[in-house]
Amino acid sequence: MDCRELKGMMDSYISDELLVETNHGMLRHLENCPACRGELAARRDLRLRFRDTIRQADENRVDPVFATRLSARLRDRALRPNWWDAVGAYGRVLTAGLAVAAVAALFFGFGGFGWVFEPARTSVGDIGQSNPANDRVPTPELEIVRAVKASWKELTSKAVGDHENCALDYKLAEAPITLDDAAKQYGPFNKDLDKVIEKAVKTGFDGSDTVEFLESHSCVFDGRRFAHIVIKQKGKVISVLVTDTDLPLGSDDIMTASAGAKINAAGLHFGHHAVFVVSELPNTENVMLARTIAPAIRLHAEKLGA
Amino acid sequence: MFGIGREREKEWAAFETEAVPLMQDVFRVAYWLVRNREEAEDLTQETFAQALKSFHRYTPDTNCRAWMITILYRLNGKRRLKLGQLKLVEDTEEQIAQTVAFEPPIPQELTDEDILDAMKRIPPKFSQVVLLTDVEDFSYKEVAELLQVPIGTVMSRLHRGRRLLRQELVDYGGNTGITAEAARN
Repeated sequence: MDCRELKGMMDSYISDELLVETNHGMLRHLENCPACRGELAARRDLRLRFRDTIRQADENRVDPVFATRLSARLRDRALRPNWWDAVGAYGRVLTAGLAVAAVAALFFGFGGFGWVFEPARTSVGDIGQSNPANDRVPTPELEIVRAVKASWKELTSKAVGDHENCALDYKLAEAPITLDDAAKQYGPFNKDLDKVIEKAVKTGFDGSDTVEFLESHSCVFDGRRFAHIVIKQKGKVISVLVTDTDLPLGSDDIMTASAGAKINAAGLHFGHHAVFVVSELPNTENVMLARTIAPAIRLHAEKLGA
Repeated sequence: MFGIGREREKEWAAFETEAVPLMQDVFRVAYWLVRNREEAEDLTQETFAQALKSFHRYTPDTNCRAWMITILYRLNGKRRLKLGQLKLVEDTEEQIAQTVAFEPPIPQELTDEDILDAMKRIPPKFSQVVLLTDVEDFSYKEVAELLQVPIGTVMSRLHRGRRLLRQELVDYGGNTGITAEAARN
């Protein structure tokens, strides 16, 4: 084996890809050829140097802000209730048009799937329990209805959980961030949302002079991110919570729910957002507040195309 | 309380453990693929979104990195197709590479910048194979699957890619242009 042949096989030798016999031939040559030994060492060093340089180069290091934001978005997306995921095999054979039409018909026909439009109440604790009326007809449409119903209940339950764990007890696992930061990381919809709500309350809510705005931020409870505006009225802490949702068929109808003996929630969804008012006030008062702020939030979302 | 919610949390926990820590690796490969940070971020984001969506198809504790990079390459293929960048006919890059016959010794004084610049000057067809093999430690078989070319093509591109890299380092990098050892012979 001469120097030229050896150089042609040097890379394969470094990668340990040669046959044993070829390896022996190379070793014999290397013993007596300092030039090839030097070249081999240089190529080995270059291979390691190249690997380290590329791996550590600043220009191909991921931006930590981008990485954090992407992780948060993925997490949000992964844990966001997805009504379509919840639809069974039956439902998946339907076209989207049929599904929406069916949901529309059933939503209004059933009066909100057993959820109670204001001022009646239902319990968040009921979530997951089957409704015998719905169990009777196992149609594809009903599968979708059940999925939407379950997603809405889950969403409401998380809004109540956020109120309890953030506004009342300050024991969230993840520290809240400002709405401005949320606007940068999760979408412009968050920006000035507190001002929009404050303005709506001050201009359109009876008894607005008794309302005190305590705090606004973006927080996460149980994997779901909320824009959270905390206010106080009549000595009670009230949470206005806005979150993304992909639930179909939003409307102006407000659905109410109760969690345990004390906490009530009033919620509605439109576009890609769901709005909740959660407090210990009677549901009629939560509903009034939700009605006051919902149009302003909807307008804010429409302006931003969010 | 909610079956679907629990299932989703479980899947996210697995994704967070196996896939999310690979963001740096995915971004690095994306960067050398498109050679632009913004586009690399877009591609990384698309890759993770797609991976999350398809995570139920991934077999836990297998090679998540290879799985992610496969998604990245597929998405980039679609992206290039959209941009009309896919070349269906082999161009002259390989022929050019084949003409590089003489191999001068590797310079001893190399900066990181020399190496990065040399890598950028190599045609992507070759630099991708060098990157996937020598930096990302993928096997020839894995690289062949990623690039959808035969293993033989991977080996020949790797051989030529390494040689081009050395040639670039000699032409543009380093101060000496010749090793002391070689100078003595």
